Amino acid sequence: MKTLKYDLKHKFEIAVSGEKVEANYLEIMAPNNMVIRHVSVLDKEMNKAIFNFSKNHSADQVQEQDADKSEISGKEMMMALNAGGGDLEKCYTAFRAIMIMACKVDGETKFTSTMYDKMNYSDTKCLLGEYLGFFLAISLDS
Amino acid sequence: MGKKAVSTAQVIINNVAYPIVPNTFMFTEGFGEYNMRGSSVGSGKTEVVFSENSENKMSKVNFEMYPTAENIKTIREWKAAQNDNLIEVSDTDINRNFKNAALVNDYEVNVGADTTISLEFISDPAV
Repeated sequence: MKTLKYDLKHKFEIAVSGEKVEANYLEIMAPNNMVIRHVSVLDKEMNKAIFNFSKNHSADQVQEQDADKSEISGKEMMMALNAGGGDLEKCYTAFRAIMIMACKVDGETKFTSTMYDKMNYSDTKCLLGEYLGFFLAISLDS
Repeated sequence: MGKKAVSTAQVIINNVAYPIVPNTFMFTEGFGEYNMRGSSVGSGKTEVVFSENSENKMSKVNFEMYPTAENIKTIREWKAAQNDNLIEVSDTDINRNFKNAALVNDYEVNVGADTTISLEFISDPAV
């Protein structure tokens, strides 16, 4: 199954085999029907934001931006989500649920809500952007 | 500001926060016991000798949980993990970590409307 690997910029401590260790990276599974309710929230907000964004910019501007890169980075995705009026609160709530259901820390430890609380906001923001770009933006074409 | 006793600390075991029965949580710091014994040095004088018993330099963590199906399953997992559990306790001004914790008692699962499961862990001294 396709997974998204994300190296944490701000590491946090987790429990592994009775000891405290530093978490280094997260691995999120490609969305399946187990998380469909939450993924649909992200999909809706992302498409709404992209639609609003392209409505407010001329077609040339959008095409110019698209031509520069074939893939959309996490940062660009978050900028588009913000600029296009996507509901960030809804997105973060849905993304939290997705992470708890479909994410592992350092490839083996199950991600929990306590870990989400410990995670730095900038990491969460980057990861959400990358998740949208990696899984959901592609799903429009494939 | 008035003083407030710690009474509703959050208990996190193996990265998951669990609800416990209120007013049942207790821990020991794991310093072990100290002995102070008097010894006679003659002429009616005595000297006090200090000794440290490292045999009991370990922490105890006790609390109770309600016998829900989910709790019974989780407790069984803690028991099976032997001493590979980590307990974190936190409140506003207090944080303790109990590493390599083992659920030592053969806990009783009392099924009923007004019953609880008593758990006793022993771990490395609290940090």
